[in-house]
Amino acid sequence: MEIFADIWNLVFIRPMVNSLIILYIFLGSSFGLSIISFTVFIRLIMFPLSMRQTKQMKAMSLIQPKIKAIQEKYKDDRQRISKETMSIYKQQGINPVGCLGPLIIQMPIFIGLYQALYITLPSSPENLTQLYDSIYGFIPIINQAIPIDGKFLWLNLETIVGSSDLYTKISLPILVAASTFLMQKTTATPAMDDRQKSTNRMMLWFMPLLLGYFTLSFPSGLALYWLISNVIGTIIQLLITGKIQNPFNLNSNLNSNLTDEVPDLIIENENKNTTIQVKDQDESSRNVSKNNRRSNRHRSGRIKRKQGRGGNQSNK
Amino acid sequence: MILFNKLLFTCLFISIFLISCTGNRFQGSGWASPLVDNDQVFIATIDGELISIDLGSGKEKWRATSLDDENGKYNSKAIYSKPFVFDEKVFIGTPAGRVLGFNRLSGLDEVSLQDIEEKILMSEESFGPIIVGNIIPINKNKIIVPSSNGEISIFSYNESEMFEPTCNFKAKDAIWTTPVIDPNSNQIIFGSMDGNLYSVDEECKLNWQYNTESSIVGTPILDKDEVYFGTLNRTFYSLNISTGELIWKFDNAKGWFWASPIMDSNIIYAPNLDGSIYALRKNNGQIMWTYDAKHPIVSSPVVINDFLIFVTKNGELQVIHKESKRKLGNCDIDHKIYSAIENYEDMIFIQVSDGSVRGYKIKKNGNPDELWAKPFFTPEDDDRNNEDWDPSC
Repeated sequence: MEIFADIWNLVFIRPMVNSLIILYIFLGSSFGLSIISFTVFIRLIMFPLSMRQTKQMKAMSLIQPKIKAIQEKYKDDRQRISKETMSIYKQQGINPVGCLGPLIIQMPIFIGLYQALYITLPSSPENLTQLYDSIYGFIPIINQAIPIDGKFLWLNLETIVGSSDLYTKISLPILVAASTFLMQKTTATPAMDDRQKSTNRMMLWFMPLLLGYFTLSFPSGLALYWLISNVIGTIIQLLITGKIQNPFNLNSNLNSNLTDEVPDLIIENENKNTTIQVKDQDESSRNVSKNNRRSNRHRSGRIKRKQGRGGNQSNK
Repeated sequence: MILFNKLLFTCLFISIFLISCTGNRFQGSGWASPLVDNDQVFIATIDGELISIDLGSGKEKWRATSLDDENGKYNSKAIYSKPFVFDEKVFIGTPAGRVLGFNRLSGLDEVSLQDIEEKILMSEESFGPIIVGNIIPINKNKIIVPSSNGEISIFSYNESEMFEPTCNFKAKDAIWTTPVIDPNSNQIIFGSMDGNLYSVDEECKLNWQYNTESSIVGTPILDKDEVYFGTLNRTFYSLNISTGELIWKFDNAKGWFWASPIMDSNIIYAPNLDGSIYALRKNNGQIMWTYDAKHPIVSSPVVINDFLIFVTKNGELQVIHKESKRKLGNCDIDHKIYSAIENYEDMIFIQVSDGSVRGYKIKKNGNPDELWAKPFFTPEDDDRNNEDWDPSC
């Protein structure tokens, strides 16, 4: 086990800790700015993965009516359900574990950053000796920068939120909870059944409350990281889904990709059976569907002709 | 799949928090070293209590509880400052910046510096200045209080047994070192996290300061006209006490000088976080030998007879011969140790971060013999206080 811990420290923790300290030195000895800039940097590196994850999740949500129809049709034949579902995934070019991939790659980075932050900002004097194990001691400016000055705005970044002044004790958990709520709200995928809907609802409220509560036992620096990370995550999500204007045209890229990959979804969304489900979809997926409709108008004649011949693929 | 995704994310998320919130990761454990006074050992504990222990048996005599009502800045009540005896009372500096005095024999609350210190010491910090370095009595009627807000304050003890503020000096950053006093000139010398070694007089006026450009955590030591100390910049210095001018420096260490050095027979023993003890010649800083203890050393060593005794951060007590460097004995305490070793005759006492205090007798051949090892948790009837402990040697 010790070798895994060593590798983990070598690959993730030490580079992150030293990057944070070097940023601190070059950003006028402000660890708050160091946290913010490093979080932005990590989020930007993670951007292609976030984009891919969002794209996969969108595609998954859009084929849900089709999968539900299969589940209804072959409810007594599990093997057939599995076979038909896989064939839809294949047909639409969706990798069922594709949503997990980016998530799995991102998690170690976020866990590493989280650990790097609490190592760099020791919450007690003896924890400063732990920082010694993580720094590149051969770089003199790093030794000279220690201990890190934790003052930023009204915050003392190394102080536990629950032990801070009343203003910090109230404001930080609320800010973290509110930003988590926003993040959850923007990343929520449309629910296709009641069970999923209730899970979504639970997540939407449970996660912010949980994080807000845990914030009380974190150093303020970690709370600042969560806050900034959530805000950037929300902005990226809004850019990707096209809810805010962006100079990079990210959402059209996403939508055009979806249009190319899942042309048959329009048929399903127009089905009577799935109309109720489509109403529950969030604004973004409705926008995506609208975009899809416009861009696929030229295909609809062909589809209608197929339907006229009783050629609904899902019923074949 | 989306549902699975969400649940996986939630589980990972919660696990991060569970990992981070267990093991009191964000709580300070303190590093107050024990104080031996006559037949008593005084310890300031992880739970923020002052306990008197019988030196021979390790039995508790009395305990003063609830020194601080709330957890301090480091999210615990753990005490960092070593107790000190003054005017037949035992005093302690707490994480909330209070200085409290107790009857040495009974433990009854007698003197409090709280009111005075609220006027003098309480400043920007929300929980007051945490006293990390040791408080030092001077001239039988004054005490010097170092604090984490960068202030050194001197209080005088008046006839009505009250402390009155005399003066204070503010450094640019926290003071974790214990102030030392030059008996010849009455200079008060201390290091700060701002990288300066300061010398002030009894009126708190600055005599000189020497900038090392790196934090000073270890308490300096004095000998005649020189002061010796190490920094986090892996450098060890010798300065002239009168002028603050550099005499020599040693910069070949691989890690931080964290713990206070000690001096014996013109040799300075400087422990380092690189796991070594450097033996340096007092007059020119030349290295005589290096002993590799294999693990970082964060607490100050002691010399008893011909033996150099030290503990490593991971909890190994080692005894080596100070000339041959031969390892003579060791005990595996197996818990982190941050506090300095307290020495009394041929005995040593160590406070361990697992909440215990251990006493050892150093035999004539250098082998340590465990006298007693006891945990001191709050409340007194905590089951852990009655657990049987395996001997560490």
